[in-house]
Amino acid sequence: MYFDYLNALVFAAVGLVFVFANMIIASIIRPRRSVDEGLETYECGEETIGDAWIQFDIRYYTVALVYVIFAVEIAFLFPWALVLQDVMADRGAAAGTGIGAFALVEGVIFIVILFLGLAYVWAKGDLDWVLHWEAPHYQPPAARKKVVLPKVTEIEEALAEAEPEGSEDEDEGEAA
Amino acid sequence: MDTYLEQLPLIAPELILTAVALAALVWDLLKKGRDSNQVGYLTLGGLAVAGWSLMGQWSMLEEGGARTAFGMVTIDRFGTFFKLFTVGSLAVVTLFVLADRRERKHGIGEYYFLLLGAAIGIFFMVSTNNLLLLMLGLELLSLASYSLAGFHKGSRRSAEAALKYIVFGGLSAGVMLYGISLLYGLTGTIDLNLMGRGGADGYPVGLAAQFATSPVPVGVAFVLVLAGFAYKVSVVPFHFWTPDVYEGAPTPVTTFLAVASKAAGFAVLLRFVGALFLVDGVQDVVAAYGDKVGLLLAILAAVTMTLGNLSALRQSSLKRLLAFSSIAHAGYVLMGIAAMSAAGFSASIFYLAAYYFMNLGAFGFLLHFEGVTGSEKIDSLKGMGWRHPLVAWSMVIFLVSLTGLPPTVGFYGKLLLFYECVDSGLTWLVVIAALNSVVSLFYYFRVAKVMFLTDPLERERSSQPYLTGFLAVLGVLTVVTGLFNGPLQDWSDQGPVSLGIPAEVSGD
Repeated sequence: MYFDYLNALVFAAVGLVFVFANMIIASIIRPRRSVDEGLETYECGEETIGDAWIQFDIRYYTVALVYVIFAVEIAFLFPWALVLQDVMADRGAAAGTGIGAFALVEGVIFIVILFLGLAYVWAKGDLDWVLHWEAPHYQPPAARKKVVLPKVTEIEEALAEAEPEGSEDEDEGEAA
Repeated sequence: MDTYLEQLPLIAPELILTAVALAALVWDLLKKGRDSNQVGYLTLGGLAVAGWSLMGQWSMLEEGGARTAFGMVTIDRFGTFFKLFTVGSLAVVTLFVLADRRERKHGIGEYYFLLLGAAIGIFFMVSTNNLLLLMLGLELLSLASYSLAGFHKGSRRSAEAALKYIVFGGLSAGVMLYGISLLYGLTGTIDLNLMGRGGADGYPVGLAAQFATSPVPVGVAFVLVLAGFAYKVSVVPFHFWTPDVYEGAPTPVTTFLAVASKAAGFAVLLRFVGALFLVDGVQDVVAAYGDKVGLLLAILAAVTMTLGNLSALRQSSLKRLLAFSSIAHAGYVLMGIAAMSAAGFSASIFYLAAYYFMNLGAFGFLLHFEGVTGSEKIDSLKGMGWRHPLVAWSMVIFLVSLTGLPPTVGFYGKLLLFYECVDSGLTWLVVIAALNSVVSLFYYFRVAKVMFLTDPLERERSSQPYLTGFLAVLGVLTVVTGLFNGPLQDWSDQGPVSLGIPAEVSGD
């Protein structure tokens, strides 16, 4: 009975050989012309800026989790929607089970529970992407103060009041 | 077959818990997390309704009878017993959360939501013969537990606990799934009953009979699935997460993990071993190798209790001591399963019920002690016996019960386990367990010694009257159920009956 799985073994072996065979053939026949640009990371035609090993904003993770809510929803609702018509009409594979309205209500309950998850994230303020420009730490919407940005003229006035020579030099140094 | 709507009442307790969990989440959102204690009271109310519904189910089911809902959920008295157990322990955990002085009182509605979610996972886990649903329930319980272990987001220890738990949990879930896939390949079904007896399309030979002809694949699959359960109940060598997670998690969560989650793990282990090796119709083939499965479990039990007890000797933190004690107790409960008999299973279930009282009590004491002194160190216990006599004397009762001395319920539970193991020819295991009990006496009574025989500390906060009263009640219950253990024993005897294990089966 162990030979029942022989096709799986053959499949795995062919797959393994295929990968390495391709790499070997490619290394034999490909041209070897090395230019500096060719060694750079391909980033959709853009020039690469810095390293990818930086600290990403943790909120990307939250958004990814919220995405999972909808991914799961779609994954379950497609098959449900496909058979729902047959089930409601009591024909096809579901004939005789008598679960018509029940199936519809079940689907609605499922969607409601998933949306509860979204509502939770929303109410907790995790969907507010733009943070306050002054606040170093994230604060929920209710806790924020309304802040008025200074106008350009006001900044210029403030700069003019300060000593002109020293401050300009410092600005240039920082910009460089 | 009933229509779907007619089958719904069978899973009424699960539906009630789901509704309460969602209500708890929405309630906290609507109140903007202003008073999370209200969510706690809502949870208690929901648990009461679920418990009432479970009592109805218990009396609806006749002895040994089982009903199936949706082709997956098996409702029997074994499952209902563990569901009632879960509801009971979750109610106590909720009380602990309400009494926890280290916990915030605002914006922690998720706490109750996650606890209820874990309970729903346990409910489906303990009441199914279908390995797929079992796995789903297990994962629901695990995911909620991971979040609960890391509930104090700012705390390093809590974060460490959650990370360790999720890494170990993910690994063991993967190993277990692999084992289940092997079992499916061998028997062509994921239904435990069909798997044990055989009879799926094209696979007439049950797993038990296959063990006799080709022991290696069956053995490997069995051990892999066993690894998943062993992780859940923290049996050596899958216990590494236990001390760190128990120590890092908030104390109510530790209580939940040590009592409800562990009992649920044992429930599925009992059902798994019972359905595959002990049910009616497989005894003939079991006779050939039943000793081997029993021996494997017996060795695990011996190693687990020895390692747990020896490690507990050196602990300076009470929370960590209780974690190792909970590992050791997993070994004791495993003794009953290793006996491979209906009476052994019943003894295991009885011991879990005993464990409910004494361990809830011990963790309740820990919570009170943390609230009063702000420390978990055993040294900080100095003088507790004189300052808070009621709590301290309750703790002494729990410690006596955990050691297994009369007249407590722990003594009677251990007596049953020892008796059944001797009956199944595992005398060496009983000798090891008895020696272990002596070792445990030493570290349990170190706690009592520090409480009563040393001078009081200077600064302390006032005691918590509700928690004190509750601990006293638990202490009284530990003694009362030990002296009048008839009803508890009747209930635990229902377990093997409803699993379909005939009374005369024995490992030898």
